[in-house]
Formats: sequence, C-alpha cells, structure tokens
Amino acid sequence: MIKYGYIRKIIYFSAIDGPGNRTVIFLQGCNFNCLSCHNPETIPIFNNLNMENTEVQLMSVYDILKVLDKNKSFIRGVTISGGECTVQFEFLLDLVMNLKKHGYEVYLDTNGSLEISKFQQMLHFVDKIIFDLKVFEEKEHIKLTGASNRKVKRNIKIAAVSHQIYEIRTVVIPKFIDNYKNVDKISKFIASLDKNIQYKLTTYRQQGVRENLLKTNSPSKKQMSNLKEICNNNGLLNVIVN
Amino acid sequence: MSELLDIIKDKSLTYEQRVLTLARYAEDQLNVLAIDAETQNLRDEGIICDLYEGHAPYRPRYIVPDYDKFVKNGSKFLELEPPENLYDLLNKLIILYRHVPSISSFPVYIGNIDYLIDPFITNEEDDYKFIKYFMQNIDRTITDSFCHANIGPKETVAGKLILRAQRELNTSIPNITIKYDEDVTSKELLYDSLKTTMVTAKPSFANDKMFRKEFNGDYAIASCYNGLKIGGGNYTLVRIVLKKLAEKTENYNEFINELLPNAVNNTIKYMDERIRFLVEETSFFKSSFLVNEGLIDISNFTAMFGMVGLAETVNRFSKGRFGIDKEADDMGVEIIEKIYKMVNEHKNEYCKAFDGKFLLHAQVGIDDDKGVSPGCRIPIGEEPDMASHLNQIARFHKYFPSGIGDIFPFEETYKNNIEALANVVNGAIDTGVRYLSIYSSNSDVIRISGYLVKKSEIEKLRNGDPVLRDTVVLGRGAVDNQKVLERKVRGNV
Ligand code: SF4
Repeated sequence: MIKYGYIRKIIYFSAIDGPGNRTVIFLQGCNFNCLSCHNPETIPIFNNLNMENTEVQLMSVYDILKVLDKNKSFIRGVTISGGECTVQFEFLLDLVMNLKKHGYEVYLDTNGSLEISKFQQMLHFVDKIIFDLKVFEEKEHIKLTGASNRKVKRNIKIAAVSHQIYEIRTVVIPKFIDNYKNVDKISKFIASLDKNIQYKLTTYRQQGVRENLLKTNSPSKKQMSNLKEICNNNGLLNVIVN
Repeated sequence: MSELLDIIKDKSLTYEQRVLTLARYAEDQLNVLAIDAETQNLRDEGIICDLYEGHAPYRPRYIVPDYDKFVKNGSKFLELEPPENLYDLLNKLIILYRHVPSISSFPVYIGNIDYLIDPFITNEEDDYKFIKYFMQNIDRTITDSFCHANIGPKETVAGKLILRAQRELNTSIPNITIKYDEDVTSKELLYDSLKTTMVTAKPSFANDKMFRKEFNGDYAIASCYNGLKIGGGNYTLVRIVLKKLAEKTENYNEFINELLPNAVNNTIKYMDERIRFLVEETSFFKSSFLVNEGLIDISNFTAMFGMVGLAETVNRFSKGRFGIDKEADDMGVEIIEKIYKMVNEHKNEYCKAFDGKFLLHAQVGIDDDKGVSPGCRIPIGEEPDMASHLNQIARFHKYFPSGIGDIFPFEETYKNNIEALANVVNGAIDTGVRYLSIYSSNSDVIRISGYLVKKSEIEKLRNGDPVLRDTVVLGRGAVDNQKVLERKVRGNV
C-alpha cells in the first residue's frame, strides 16, 4: 500500500541541518507544544487535508523521491525534520527505508520522544540523529514542552552507543529556567556518554515564536560563552554556540 | 570637438582613464574598415555590436602571453634576465604586465600565477609577505577588473598563499579562476578556494576536464571567463544581441530560418574584416616584442563570436518561460545549436588556434544593456531552485569554450559549512557546468557579470568621486540596469 505523509515544506539546499549541503523535509505535526517553538504552525497533527491549511501537502514516498532526484548530484544527504518527524511514524519508516535504498545519507532531526522500540527500529535505517534536549529536569521539561523527557534521554543513550548522534541541541532561553544549571547537567550527561558528541547551544530569538508565551529576551554573547565554558569544563570536546 | 573637451573636463575620470578615453575617441574618428551596407544597418540597429572595440583595431582584444617562457628566457626587449629568486620574479612579472596590451590597455591574463611562483618559494612566511605585496600592486596598478589570474588544478604552496592574501586584502583585482578537477585538485585547495570566495567573491571554478579536452591540453581563463590558448589570444569579440533581432518578427520560423542566419553571416563577415585589418594592416604582429620573443604566436589566436539575450528571445516566441519550462529551454538549445553550427562551418585563415574557427562566447552584457540577460542566463528574479538552475545551464555550457558562466550568491550560513559548497561545485561540474562563481550575499566585493566590483566603490562613484578602477563605472550601470544585487540568494529555499 502506498503511504502518504503530511509535508509542511521541503528546503532544497540547506547548510544548517547536518554536514554538507542537504535537502530538508519538514513533516507536519508535533507531540510537544513548546512555549519556545519557532514554527508553531507545524505543531497541529493532521489526519486529513480538510484541516484548514493550504501549505501542508500530502505526498507519497515516490513523490518525495522524484523531488529529490534532481537535487541528488548537489547534496550530501537528506535531513528529515518537523514539527516532529516521528509523529508520522509509519510514513517516516517507509520514507527512510526508501531513501537508504536509493543511496541517500539520512539524518533525522527529532525531539527524541519516540517510543524506545520504534526508535530502535528507526535507527537501522538512518545514518545519524540530531536531538533536541531542551531541558534536563523532567518537571521543567514538562513546563516548557508539555511532555516528559524520560524517553528522550533513553533514546539519546541508545543512539550514543551505536555512534549515531550527529548533534544534540539546547536552546538557551533566559529567565525561564536556570540555564547554568540546565546546561551543566546536560553537558555532564552527554560527557558521560561520549565526550566527542557535538553539542550546540542555540541563542533564543523571539522571532517567529508565539507572543506572550514566554516573557523573555535573547541571551547575551557573554552568557553564551560562559555556558560554553561550562560544557568544556565538563569534558565536552565539540561545543558550538550559534 | 565638444565631446573631446567633455572628456578633458570630466570630473569622474582619473588621469589614466582620461588618456585612454581620449585615445578611444581619436581611434573612432577613423573609417577604415570595409563594412557593407547590410552589416552597417545591423550595427546601427544595435543587433551586431562590437562592444566599443574601436573603429581601427590596432591590437588584439585579449592577449594571453606564455609566462612560462618569459620566466625561462627573460626578455631581450625589456632587458630582463630570467628571474633568480621570488622577489626578482614578482618584480619582473609586474614589469611585463605593464607591456601586455588589450582592449582596455590592461592585461586580461596574468598567468597561472601559483605555478609561476611556486618553484621560487623558499620560506612560506617570508614569501607570503612578498606575494601579498605583489597582489596589492596588481590591484592598484592594473585598475581594471578584467585582469584575470589562474590557479590550479594542482595544489601548491604558492596557490594557498595567494588565496590567503586574497582573503586578507579583499580586493576586486585580479579576477581569479581555479582550474578545478576533482581528480587532480586536492580537497584542501578546493575548501580553501571556497572559503576565499565567500569572503572576496573569487576564485571562480572552471571545469578543468572539459576545457582541457577542448583545448587539447592547457588553456587560460582570461578577462571575464574566457577560455583561450596560452601564447595566443583573441583578436576580436563581436556579439549578436538576440533580443533586438527577435523584436523584428513575431514569427519564430522567420527568426530561426532567415533573420538569425543572416545576422550570423554578417557578424562573421564583420569579424573577418576586423581581423584582416588588425593582422594585415597594423604593425602589431610585425613589431610587438611579445610576438618577436615568442611570448605570443599568431597561430594560437582565434576570435570570439558573442551572443546575449537568449532568455528574452525565447520568451518572445515560446509559450513557456526560459529557465522554467522544458519547451522553452529546448527552443534555447535549438537557437544556440544553429549559431554553433554556422559559426563552426566558417573558417578564417588567421584563426589557426582552432583550425580556422571562431569560438562561441556567452557575453555578459555591458552596462547600458537594458532588459537583455547576459549570454544564456536566466533573467535575475526568475531563477528557479538551484538544482534545477544548474541542470538547466549545463545544457548550454558545452557550446561555449571561450566563455560562459553563471553566478550564485549564497547565504551567510554557507560560510560555516564549506563542505556544502563543495557538494554544489562537484555536483555542478559532474552535471556538465563549465564555469561557476559563488559569493556570499553580504560581501563588499561582488560579482557583477564576469568581473568583480566593490559595492563601496559604486557608492563612491554615485557621489561623483573619481574611483581608481575603471570597471566600477560598468558595475554601477549593471546594478542600476541589470538588477545584479537582486540575484536569488541560495540556501534555505
Ligand atoms: S518539539 Fe520542536 S516542533 Fe515540536 S513544539 Fe517543540 S519546538 Fe516546536
């Protein structure tokens, strides 16, 4: 049976979603509801196209392969992002299997909340994972995202064992939580798995975020470099600030 | 006479620019070329255009000296022994550059400078300083962006020092091309080149395999992006403004079967006449020391048959849009193939470099072209996504050994992901792209059509201040008339 997915957008060339030039496929729908979400329009989960949105398209794996075909010579690989790409699990699995079959390097950009067994299944067909680990403490995680982070941490551990983590990202949001503590804990956690894992601290920017959910501002450059120092002190070797 | 006085009084010209403008004015008082009435009509209509090459050509448009020979033998005429060390070499090259004419009176090719310099490198850090002074000297004395240096395809220490100097100097001159072959060029040199072009809009990338095959060995990239034989050059460049020709009819059949062949034939005749005058009646090939000392040889010369405005021509006749719809692109290919075939059937006895043939050239346009896209380029503002764009241009690049190229500004984010740019360049070359240029959308040095100009200098000129480099004037025209600052920026689309 042909599977269809709800696709929010395809970016043909991107330099910021993994190594090399990549085509990025954004799947619609997310199981979190982050106050800090930069693309809140990607959150609603679609069951049919009658939902009021003309920007989401229903595409088959074949449709996507066709779009990728003309790009193939100019990209290193494909990154699948969201929303949260694993929300459309069946479709995603079919997609990544086919992408691998056609020789693409496949990365997933995920919030890491997929059920463990499904995640393990998925790992067979992707090269690397880009994780968001937004907050370390579960309670605070629920406050920001509406969901627990237990599975996230477990999945990170699993992917670390098979060396399939490309990057872990944390957005630094001033005032909302104690970022020093949060980054300290996350970096210790990552270092305990593998000091070489790339950890990216992203500067929070108001732009695109739903207004009034978070009354805050962007962190200063100084704050960001202090946080980076914490990570380095905790033993991480690849820390990026952006 | 008042025109003459205008030139003398013009506040925006430097002394040197004034002298050259006066010389051009003087040359154009002559009427020595035998041009028949039909050709003259086409010239008057702006369909055949010699790009103000002058009414009495007294030097080849582009000269490509064999600098290796100069380094080996020195020059009797210039009273120079072969160079003995790096400083000696750089000094002597600068002396020679001063004596290499061209249409703009500045040299349009200054050598595969990495290969020239590399054997003289003894101490990287000390030598770097000399190379930087050398590059700075070129930028300030050869004040014309059509001056072109080549590097590669092999990695050398000198090549990397040259790129480093470019990143630091951030100047528009010389234009630089890396002859790039994935199987020969090191990854390090490719990455270094990409890093440099995101800072200072050069080097551009030439498909080395493709050029080498057509030129049966080595070649030079001179002026904008023109492939020419080393130790030779190009006599003349005359272009057909296809758009203006197309405007004479509503009927594509009439265009392709009557108007176009007629214009091509007249252009060829006109080029033959320009070459005849230059070779037979002027003293250039009889007295120039470049010829006498074998730094150039008439047997390595050809001429360039140019064209512009394919996009507008196709859009006039096709139901589709050029660059977007296949049927429109197919029509574009048909037009170019027709020109290619006719031009290749013609033989000129003085064009021995390619068995008497002229080479096709996708001309980049001049500053006062309005609504005419360069060569076979897709109009600015209508560019498709980059993958489609590269696939489209590859269909045309193969017809133009003496020059065609496309330009892609990239988002800043690509500065931090050089591998991504390498993916694009390698993919493009594999697809059959001959020549491409990349720059960062927010650099000061930007690529206008083939040459480079600083945005800050265009602003100076706008304020009525004289500027050192003559091409800034062209750059301003292109910014105003051809919207070059509005090219589609690549990445995140
Ligand atoms: S996980 Fe990502 S897409 Fe989902 S709500 Fe959070 S920020 Fe938005």
